[in-house]
Amino acid sequence: MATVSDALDGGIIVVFEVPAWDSRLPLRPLWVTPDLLSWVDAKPELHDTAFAVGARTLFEHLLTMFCDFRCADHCPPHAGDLKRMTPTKHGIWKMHPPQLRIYGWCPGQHQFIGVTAALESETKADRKLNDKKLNEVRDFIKKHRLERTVLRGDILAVFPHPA
Amino acid sequence: MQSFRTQLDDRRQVFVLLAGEIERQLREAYDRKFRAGLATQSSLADKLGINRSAVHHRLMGHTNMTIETIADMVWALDQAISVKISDPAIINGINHSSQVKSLTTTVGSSKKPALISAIPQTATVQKEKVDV
Repeated sequence: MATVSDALDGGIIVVFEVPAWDSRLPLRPLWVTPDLLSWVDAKPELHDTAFAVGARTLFEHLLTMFCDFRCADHCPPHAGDLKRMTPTKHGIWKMHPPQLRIYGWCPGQHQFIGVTAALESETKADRKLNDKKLNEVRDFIKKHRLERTVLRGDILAVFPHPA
Repeated sequence: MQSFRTQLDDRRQVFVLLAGEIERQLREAYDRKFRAGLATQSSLADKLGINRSAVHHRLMGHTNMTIETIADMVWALDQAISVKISDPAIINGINHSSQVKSLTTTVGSSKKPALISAIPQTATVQKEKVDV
């Protein structure tokens, strides 16, 4: 069985780096797959102002959420930002930036590994897409023998409030 | 360590940072009130005379709020407000002063100075303070 460190060393996942212009200090880890980074960079809808929400592109919203995940005092920054996917026994979570879905798992408390993503509109158009993405994350975990890194439990178990 | 290849220009960075900071502080203020049983999105909506969904959209960053809308949210949440626009060069110049160390805890790194300073609350302040 592999560990998160093994996955990092092997380049299977990378630490999401907070941009220099956000001066906050990172408090918690967020890892993503290189494929997810590439998807975000290449997906036209994320950078098209025609899809903007609140005068920000979907990419800018995603960047804000990733930075908040790493740096905000409270995690998740908002209760609706992270949801556990059903069936819950697999320990797969999805992050909800505006109009986006980021799928992954939590290897520890206040930690997240993003594996794959989809537009919210794509999940509405294809009702089975969420299940496909869940299986994609499960396959990723299995392929890289990361099963033991999956932390299971509800939102209070995985993202407990500070005492 | 890696991030997106897509980079925001300086102008967008300021906007994204400012909008994110305002929304984050409003959400945190709301969460404190909600956990204390002092506010819900419905109660805020009633207080402001708007729909609950409008409150939700404001808290989630789905709208580009005007200054008046931000002020409304701050008022509805019984918060105080503190605005600080600063020149990074000047902040860097005075960063070693012991007088301002407590206000610029993250400025001393290689990163740029914080756009929005975190001014600690004092026990004598009645209302909670929101830095915008």
